[in-house]
Amino acid sequence: MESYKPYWTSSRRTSRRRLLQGSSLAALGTIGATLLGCGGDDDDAAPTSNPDQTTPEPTSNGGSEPRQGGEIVFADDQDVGTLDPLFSNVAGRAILTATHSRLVSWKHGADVGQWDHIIEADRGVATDWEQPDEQTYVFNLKPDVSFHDKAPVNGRTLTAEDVVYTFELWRDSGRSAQAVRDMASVRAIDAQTVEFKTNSPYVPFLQWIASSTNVILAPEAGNDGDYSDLASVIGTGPFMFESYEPGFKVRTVRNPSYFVEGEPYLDAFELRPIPDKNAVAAAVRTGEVDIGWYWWQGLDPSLAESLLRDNTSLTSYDDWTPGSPFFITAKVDRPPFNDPRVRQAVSLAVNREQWIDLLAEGHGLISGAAPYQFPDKWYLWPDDLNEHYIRHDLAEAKKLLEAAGYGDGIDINRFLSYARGSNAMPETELIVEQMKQVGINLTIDQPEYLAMIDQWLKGEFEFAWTTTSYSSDWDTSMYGHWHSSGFNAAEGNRYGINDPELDELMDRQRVTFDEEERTSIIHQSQQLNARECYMIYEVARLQHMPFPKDVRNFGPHSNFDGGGIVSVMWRDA
Amino acid sequence: MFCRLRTPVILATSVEVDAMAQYAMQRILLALPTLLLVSFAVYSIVRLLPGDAVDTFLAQNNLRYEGDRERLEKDLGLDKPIVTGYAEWTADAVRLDFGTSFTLRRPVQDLLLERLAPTITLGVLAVFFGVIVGVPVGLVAATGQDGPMDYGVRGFAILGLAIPNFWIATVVVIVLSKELGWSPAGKFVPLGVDPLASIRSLLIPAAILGLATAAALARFTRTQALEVLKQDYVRTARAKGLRERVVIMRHATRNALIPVVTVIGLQLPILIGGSVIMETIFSIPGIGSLTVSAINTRDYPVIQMINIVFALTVITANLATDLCYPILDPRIRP
Repeated sequence: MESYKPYWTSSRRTSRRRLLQGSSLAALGTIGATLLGCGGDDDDAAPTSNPDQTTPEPTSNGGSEPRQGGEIVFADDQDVGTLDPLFSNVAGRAILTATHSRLVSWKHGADVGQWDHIIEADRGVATDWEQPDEQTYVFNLKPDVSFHDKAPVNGRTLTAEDVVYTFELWRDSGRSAQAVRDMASVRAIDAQTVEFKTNSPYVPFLQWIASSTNVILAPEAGNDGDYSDLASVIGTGPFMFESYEPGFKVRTVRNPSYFVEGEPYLDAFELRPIPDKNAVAAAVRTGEVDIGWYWWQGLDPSLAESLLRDNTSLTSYDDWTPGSPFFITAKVDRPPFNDPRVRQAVSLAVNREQWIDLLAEGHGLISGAAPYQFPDKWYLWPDDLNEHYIRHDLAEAKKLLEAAGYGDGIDINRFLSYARGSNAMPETELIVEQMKQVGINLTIDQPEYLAMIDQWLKGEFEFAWTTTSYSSDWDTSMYGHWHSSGFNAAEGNRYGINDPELDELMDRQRVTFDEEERTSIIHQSQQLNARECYMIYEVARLQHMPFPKDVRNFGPHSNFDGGGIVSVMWRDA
Repeated sequence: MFCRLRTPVILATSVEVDAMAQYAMQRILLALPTLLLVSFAVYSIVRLLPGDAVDTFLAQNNLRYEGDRERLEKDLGLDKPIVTGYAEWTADAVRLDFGTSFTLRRPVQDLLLERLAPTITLGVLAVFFGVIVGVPVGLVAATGQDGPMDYGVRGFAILGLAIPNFWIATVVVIVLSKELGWSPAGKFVPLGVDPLASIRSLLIPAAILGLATAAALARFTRTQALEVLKQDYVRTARAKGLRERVVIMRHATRNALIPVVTVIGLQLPILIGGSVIMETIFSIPGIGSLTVSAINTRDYPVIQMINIVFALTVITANLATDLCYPILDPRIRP
């Protein structure tokens, strides 16, 4: 009997013809794949940065009269997880600002800029407020604000005691803003009047009160301060909580008893978690979702243009935004970066035009000595700065390094890219290449996400590419970063900035109630940073926010006030 | 041997059934120390990693590094030594209390029950797709060795294994939305709401996820089938004049499938563990995405429970695979 030979050990001779045929096919396939993969854009024109440093007007989208009806679906890149106000994330806050109100809130709408934090009484539970002295705020509450008609609150009227309870809970939980935790006291003068006292004069206090985290709670809705149960989501906001399907969607519906007459115009507001950028673009393209999670940071121009091409029922809100404001910094309290000449050399080594071309698709603005924010209020552009190093000059950079004694170069082993969830690797790698041009050799230290946070909190880095959060006031954005006492704040001064002149300016601006004088102080602090280069900011990028044409009065905002944004929107059809 | 292979194996004796039951019971009992070991390993290793849930709270809420850290560690029970904490966790686990998620503020078992169904459904559908595509295709390739079908299948297998599933998923999402005006992402329907709609909403991600399984099974089945087709008993069956279809289906397939069953059995845990990409792209609220966020935030109770579930899945899949062998080949007994 013929002996059995398993298939894979039997010898199979390949003929020369078969070998030539196979090789030719493989070669053709490789060439074809290469040609396809290397196909470039038809447009070979090199993108240019925007030389115009003025702030463009955001695209207006209002114009029709408000009407009742319709629904809106937003997407966010994360699930709400929990609607416990003490533990909510950004997505959760978008919902909680819809179901709850704050004492005061910001104005929203298509004619309000992203950075305009205009405090108004209309949509807050306070009808007006007074400031009898620099440390006292007295709020008079609207008499007709009622909670949602759900047990155990059952639609009762909001009182001053609810406000007191809320702010004491925020303060005692230790999870609220510093300003709230630094309150000296909060008390109910009567059923409709609340008094706050601060430990010291603090100009941004009102902005903190308006913060999207400080939603007013009903004591009986929670379980002894625990609001983790979905049945606790009872507020006085324009929308009422209806349902939450974890990982899928949160749905809220119109509150028929909302204290702002006529609002909200929409019947329902939904939020869906769609983490993947292409998936959210697909959902917007097909109309499954009205507005993607770019509602607070924008889409890259090319992706936005693709959406607008594919779906002609979309229009776009365009604006300059830094995304999450990133900046270059280093340990400035020790060599080599304690020498301002070295820091100045770093700033001169940054090629911002290249940044705009490679990372912002050719649409960017070169920032000044602060993150691009509050452009119409406090922000100084490079042309407004007296002495700065916001230009690309390798020769000058090398001279400065030589003068500082680092002509042979600098080796940095711990370049931490603290991106907090964003993909900042393209920027990180570009920085490495740009610094190499002047002999600063950076080795990227990029641990896993939470290890990176741990390292950041402990200040374990030499050089960093990192970000800060949006905020509603200059002080809350910058004090923790620029003041020498800022280390203790999680987002604070881990760079070792200890500049008495800067400390004095930061301390003065937070207690100067005169707007003009305060602006002058803030400008001086930017002039100082421009000279000292403690932090070197990235470019502002043009972002697009596609949304349906029939949606009116959509005004994206730099703060996560989802409810505020949605309550003034309506749909034409 | 040839006659025994033709004997229907379903007619097992009561002795054999008792032996299998005893074997299954032994394996189940062995699972308990395995789970204990896995739980302790996960409990201690994850706490040795840099960063913890407190860091998440500090960073998210811009809290005070000194002052708030100690308080939060105490609140979350992170100030206890590992052994003490593990003993307390085990005592609670015995009472089916697996703790509360640090970040989601809900009982861990509730979270898992919500998220398990989509992931298991996705995994099972992916395996099902892999089997119904990969096995027949592998058999066809084997029977038509070196023919056009064989080359086609081998090409499919290489592409299916080489092309990353996240790339395929992204292309599918983009193409469907551009060409058909339909987005498959975000369409998930919970099983409890409408089981059929739920399965329909998972078909596309399951097909993509199962593609690599289909490719691997096609290759493996082909190889095994070729091996079996060269056996003496197959030659005898042909010599007897049996139709080729009978030879393949009745005599060759079952023997070729024995090693293939092993591969299939191991695919389910792999697919459940690898579902995170599909869950992210298609916005499916499953265990995969929960795992990633739990690891990123060091949500220890959730991480602990998920790993127990994964371990249980692997143990169950292995046991089910082992119990299938006697059905396919009566010569194999536990």
